[in-house]
This record gives sequence, C-alpha cells and structure tokens, in this order.
Amino acid sequence: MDYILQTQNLCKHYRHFKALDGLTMNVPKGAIYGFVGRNGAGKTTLIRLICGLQTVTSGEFTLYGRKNTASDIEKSRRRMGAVVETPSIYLGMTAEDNLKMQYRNLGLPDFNDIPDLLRLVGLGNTGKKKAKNFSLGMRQRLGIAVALAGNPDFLILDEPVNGLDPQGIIEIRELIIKLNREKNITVLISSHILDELSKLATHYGFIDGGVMIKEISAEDLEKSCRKSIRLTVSDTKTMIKILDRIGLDYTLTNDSTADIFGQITVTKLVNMLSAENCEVLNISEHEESLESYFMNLVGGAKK
Amino acid sequence: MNKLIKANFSRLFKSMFFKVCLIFSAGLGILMDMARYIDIQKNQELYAKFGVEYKSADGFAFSLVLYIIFAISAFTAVFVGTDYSDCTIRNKLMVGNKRTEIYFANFITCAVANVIILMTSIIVTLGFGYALFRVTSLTAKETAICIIIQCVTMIGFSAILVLISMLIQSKASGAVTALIMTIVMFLAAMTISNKLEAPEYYEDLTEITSETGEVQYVPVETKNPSYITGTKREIYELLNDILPCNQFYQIACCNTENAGKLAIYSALIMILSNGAGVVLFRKKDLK
Repeated sequence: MDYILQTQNLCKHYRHFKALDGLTMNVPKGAIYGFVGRNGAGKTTLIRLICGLQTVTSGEFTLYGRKNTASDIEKSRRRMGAVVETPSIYLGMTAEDNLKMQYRNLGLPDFNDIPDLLRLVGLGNTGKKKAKNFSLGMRQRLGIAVALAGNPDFLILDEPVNGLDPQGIIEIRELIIKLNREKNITVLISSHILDELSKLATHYGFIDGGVMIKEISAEDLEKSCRKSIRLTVSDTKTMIKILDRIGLDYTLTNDSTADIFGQITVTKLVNMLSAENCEVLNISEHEESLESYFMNLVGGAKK
Repeated sequence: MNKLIKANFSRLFKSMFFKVCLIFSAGLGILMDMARYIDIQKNQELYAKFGVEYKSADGFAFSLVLYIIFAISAFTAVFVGTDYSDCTIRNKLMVGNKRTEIYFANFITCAVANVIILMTSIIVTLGFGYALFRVTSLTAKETAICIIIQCVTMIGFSAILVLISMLIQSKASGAVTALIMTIVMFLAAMTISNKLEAPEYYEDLTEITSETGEVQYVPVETKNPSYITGTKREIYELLNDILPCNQFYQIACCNTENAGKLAIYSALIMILSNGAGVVLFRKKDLK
C-alpha cells in the first residue's frame, strides 16, 4: 500500500508536557483518514509538525517518501494543503484577493484557476465582500480553497466542522467527499465529532495522550463493531442470573436494560426469562457506534 | 523568496494603514512648510533682530522623521502581525517556503515601505517648501547625503522593528512593544543629545564692587557640572552614533560630519537584528 504520510515514534514535548509521545501512524494514498481523539490528545500538534509550524522533539515522519529531516522536505510540503484550527485568510481581503495572495506565495504564473476554485467551494458569488464579513462556514470554505491552491494531492483539515451550523457541516462534508472522489485528493481530518467523521472516513486513527491507540480501515471497523441485542426486562437480577448461567457476554446500560453480545436464540432466552417470571418489555438489535468503539479504546488504553 | 516579496508588496499596496502613513507623512510636510511660512511672514523683523535667517524648508525636512518613526513602528508591527493574527503565516510555511525566506521577505518589504514613507515626507517637504520659499539652504550634495543616511538609518531601524514583530505572535502586543521601544529610543536620543550638546563652560555673572562703591556684574566662565567627560562621554558618543533615533536626530540637525560612521553602524544594526531574528524565528514554535 502507498502511504502519503507515515510517522515513526514521533514526539513533541513542550517543556515537561508530552503532547506527542511516540506516535506512529500511516495515512494511505487516496484515503479520507479520520484522526480521532479528545481535546488535547495531540491531533493539532501532529498537524503543526507535519505543516512545519513546529519542530519535532524526537522521532520522524515521512511525507511523500521524504523524511522530515531532509533538506528538501519543502518540496513535499508543496504537494499538500492544510487548514489548521482556524482558516488562514486575510480578513481584510475578498475571497478572490485571498486566493491571489496564495497563488503569489506559491509562485503560480496566473490566476486563471481562481474562479473555478471559488465555484468548487461554493464562493463563486462573493464579489467584493471581504472575508471579515463572511459567515464561519464561508470562511472555512475559503480556508479550504486557499489550501487547494496549487492543486495539492494531500489535504489536512483540522476540526473543519467546528462551530458550523448543520447546513455548513453538510456542505463541508460534501465538499470533502467531492475532492476525494473527483480529484483523488487524500484527506486527513482531525475531529472529535465522531458521528460526522463516520459519514466520510475510509480509515481511522485513534489517538489519546499523544499515542496512537489503533489504526483501522472503516471496513474493518464496521466488522469489529460488535452487534448486540438490547433487552429491557422487568427483573434485572433474574436476567443477569440467566445470562451468567448461559455464559453470554453482556453489559448493563441502565438498571433494566442490557446489551447482549454473541449469537443467541431469542426464543430460547425469552422462554428462560419467562420461566423465572421475568417479563421482556423491549427487544431490539443494536450496533456499537464509532463513539462507543472509541470510548472502549480510550478506556482500554487508560487501564 | 521573490514570490514572497511579490506577494508582500501586493498586500502592501492594498494596505490602508500604509496609505494612511503616506498621507500622514506628506500632510505633515505640507503642514510644517505652511507653519514655517506663516511664522516667517509674521515674525520677519524679530528674526532679523536676532540675526536668524529662516528662509527655506531644508532645515526641518529631515527632522520630520522624529514624528514619522512612531507611525512607522505601528505600521511595521501591524503589517507583520497581520500574518500572525490572520494565521496566514501558515499559508507561507505550509506551501514549502523556508522560514529564512519568510523573514527576509518581510524585512525587505517593511524596509522598502518605511523608506517610501520617509521619502514621501522629505520630498513633499522640500518640494512644497521650495514652491513656497523659492530658496534652498543646503547644497545638492548635503541634501543627497542627508537623504541617503536617513534612508540607511531607516533600514536599520526597520530591521529592529521586524525583529520585534516577527518574534511576538500577537499583533497587538507586537505593536505596543514596537511603540514602547520607539518611545524609549526617542527619549534616549533626546537625553544623550542634550548631555553631549551641553557646553563645558557657561557664562555666569559675578558681582564686583569697585573702589568707588559701584556694583558691577561681570561675566565669568564657569565650569558646567553636568558636562560629561572621559569614558562616560565616549560611551555617550558611541550610543549617539549607534542608536537609530540618535542617528535620525543628528541628520535632523543636518549634521553630516559622521555620515560614513552612521551608515556603518546602521548596516551593523541591520545585520545583527536580522541575524538574531532569523535564528530565533527558525526555532520558534508557531501556532
């Protein structure tokens, strides 16, 4: 598999605080890589290191096959675009002028692509309106447009939907999917909004305390997210007694409901409960979410 | 680096602050010319009585820089600080530009911008002054030397301002720091100049009673206690030549004796400030 970005034992320390503590990750080419972690887990720190905003304390990363210590790492950086935390745009300029500035920073010979780029991010009609008068979503889209200047094939987005309204979230999601599918751009998205991430990511990396806990493809994640039967009963003690007797794996979600994992015969279980005068009030199929998967991972790591 | 300089200049020429600085420096020159002209018209006899000849604008064309440095400090801090406040410095770094290139591109842009602001004030003052007074008191050579030295000093001063602005990631803090530094340097310039210009002796009147009982006041040369000598004076003189505001003040007084020395010191300031700035900026963690 081709990888755009690989990190090996990457560390970043701020005095005594270890923001990244031996992080190892692999971003495959063509993926939408969901970088998941709580606030302060080290997501933004990693992005700052890759973008060259900060220097690595120890360890290394490889971007397009070039190590971070290579004298020509800038050549690899020219192939990527990024929006780190807030969009990097001149608030006193129009959308078009902002793109012109970035084209100049890149040394591009003309501005012919700018109208297409503005249309791509849905800012084709902003005219003379300055970025300071844009909504948060518009600024975010302009930030992405600036990151897309120079046709990068790797896009890094740090919390791209933070603070956006539902409409804005949908627009950004559709834009990311469009860029990935139509322009074959590899995207690294850091987020802690897992529900949103699950709608577009093809690969996941779960980070906690500056350490990569697990990397998994969306396909494998789906397979490993355990399906369960959610059962609500009138007598929980009896249910626990019977489940223990059968040897089924379960977790109690509240004082009358349990998620039961593994293959079970529903009729047999209901009959056993009924025989012990325990009524089954509700029964439904339940799938473990990305959120609970992440929480299990993080919880596991802390132990 | 050329592309960064080109990008910076396109932003510079769109900058409202830069336009305001140009208008301020030109307006100040015109205002000073007119004030001088009105003053001469009103007090012609008085000046003649004291044997003072104020006929041209040359005398203060080079002193306006002492007002303009405050505008320039704020402008440089805001221009460089905008890249931090709008986070656009990331755009430059992330597309593969080296930190050294970013630093020097900012320095070159700010130095050129500041020289343009300075030149605007000088040209407008001399030009408008000549239109009013129809006479110049400095020779073309003296004027050229004053202009060159002020420009060189301005480049050295810009290097210090860029150093401060590049190392402070907050636009507001950078602007405040740059202004405070300018005020301190300005006050230091005034203090040092006053100390150095103080006469070694001053005339004091001494009461003498003659044999006839007549009281007379005779001028006697008295040693000035605040006149500085020895190593202390050497240090003051060195500072007077090194510090940018002192250099501005020397040229403001149309003192071109030390022109070569001042230019060398300005070049040293520029090299040291940029050297330190690049080293620190390369190590700096950016957000």
